Amino acid sequence: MKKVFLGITLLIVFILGFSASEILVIKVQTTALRTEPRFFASVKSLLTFGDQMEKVGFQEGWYQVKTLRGVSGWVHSSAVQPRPSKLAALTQGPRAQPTASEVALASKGFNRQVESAYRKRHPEIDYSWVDRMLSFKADQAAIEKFLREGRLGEWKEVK
Amino acid sequence: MTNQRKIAVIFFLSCLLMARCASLKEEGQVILSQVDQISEKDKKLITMTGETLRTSFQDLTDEEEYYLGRSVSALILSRYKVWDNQNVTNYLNLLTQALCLYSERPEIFAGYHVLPLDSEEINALAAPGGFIFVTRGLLRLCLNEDTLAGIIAHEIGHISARHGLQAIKKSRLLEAFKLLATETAERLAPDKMAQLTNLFEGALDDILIQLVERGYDRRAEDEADELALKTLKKAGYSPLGFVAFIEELARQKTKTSGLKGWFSTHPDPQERLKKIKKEISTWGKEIKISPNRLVRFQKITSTWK
Repeated sequence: MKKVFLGITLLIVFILGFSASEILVIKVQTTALRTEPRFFASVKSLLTFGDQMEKVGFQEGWYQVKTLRGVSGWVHSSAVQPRPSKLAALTQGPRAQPTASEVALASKGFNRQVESAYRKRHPEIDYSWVDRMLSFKADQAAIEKFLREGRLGEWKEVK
Repeated sequence: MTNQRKIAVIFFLSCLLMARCASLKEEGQVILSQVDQISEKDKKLITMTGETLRTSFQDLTDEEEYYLGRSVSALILSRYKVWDNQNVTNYLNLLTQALCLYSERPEIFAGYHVLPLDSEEINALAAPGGFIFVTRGLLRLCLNEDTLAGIIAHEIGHISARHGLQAIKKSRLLEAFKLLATETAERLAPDKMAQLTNLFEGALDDILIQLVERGYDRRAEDEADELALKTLKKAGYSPLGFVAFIEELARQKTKTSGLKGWFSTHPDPQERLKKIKKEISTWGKEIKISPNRLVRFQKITSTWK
C-alpha cells in the first residue's frame, strides 16, 4: 500500500514539475550551446533543428538551458522557440524524440516537398546560385578576426 | 502518516493537476474562439491534431520563411545576372555574417548570405530567410565599409522584421494555415499538395512584387532604418557612412528622373535623412569612422571598383 501511495505521489509530482517547466525547441538548422551568453564564448556542443531543452534562465537575449543529456549552457533567443503544442506538453515533459504526430505536423507547411512540387511546375527556374549562396559561410575565427581588425563589436575602440 | 492524511495529499496533488489541465484547455478554447474564419468542423479537427492555430504571417515558421525565401531568391536571380567575383562575395558575406550578430535577429534558419548582382542599377534586395542581394552599381557608390555596413544593416532589418512575409495576402495565408491545420494525415494527399503549391506560388508572387516592383511602405522602410542604426551602434560602425549614402541618393534623384531600383522602391531620401540625423544626434562621440576600416576597404575594393 505504501509503495502504491509513493508511486502515485511521485508520478503526480513528476507530471506537475515538467508541465510547469518551460521547454524550448531549436528552430534553426544548427546553432551552438555556449559557455557564456555571448557569440564569441566557447562552444560546448552543436544543437540542431528540433532539439529540445529545458529553460533555466534568461539574460539579455540569451537563454540559459539544460539539454536532455544534462549539458548546461547558453543559446541565443533567436534560435529557439517555446515547444509549440502546450496541450501536448502537459503530459509529455521533455523528450528525446518528438511523437509521430509532431513529426507529421512539423513536416507540413511551405517546405522542401512544396518547393519540389513548385520546381516540377517551373523547371525553367534555376536554383543553382541559391544553393551556392548557402555555401558562403565565414567561420567563427574569420568573423572574430574581421571584427578585431576593424575595431568592431567586443573589440570596438572605447572613446 | 495516517491513511486519511495520505488521501488528503493525493487529493490536493490531483486538484493541482486538474487545475493545470483546465487552464490549458481554456487557453486552447480562447485561441479557437478568436478565429471566425474557421468552421466548427475545422475547429474540431484542429483540436484533434493538437496543432496550435496560426492566423498571421508572424506564425510562419523560420523553416517556412526559408523555403519561401529560397524560391523568391531564385525568381530574383531570373531577373538579374550574378556578379561572379569570389573576392567581392567573400568580403560581403564576412561583413554580413559579422554584422548580423549585432542585429535584432542574429540567428535565422540557414543564416544570412549575400550575392552581388552584375547590374549598374543602384539596388539592394532582401528576400525572406536571410538572402541578400546588392548590385554592382550600389557597391560603386560605397566610399567606405561603414557605408556598406549601413546598407546591409538596413536589409538585415527588413529580414529581422519579416517585412517580405507581410506582403503575402492574408486570405492566402489563412487558406494555407487552414489546409495544414485540418489535415490529420501524416502526408498531404496529392490534391491538397497541389492546392498548397498554388498557395506557395501565390505567396512568392506577392513577395516578389513587393520587393522588386512596388517596394515597402514608408513604415517598413523607417523600421528597417531604425533597426539598421541600432545594429550599427551595437557593432561599433559609424552611421555617417549610411548618412552619406542616403545623401548621395538624394543628389542622384535630383539629377536624374525615372531612375529604377532603390529610387523607385524606397521613400524620399530627404525625409529619411531627417529621421536618421535626428536619431544619430544623440549618439555623441561614437560616430567617428575608424581609420583601420578605411584602409581595409580601400585595399579590398581597389580590385573591383
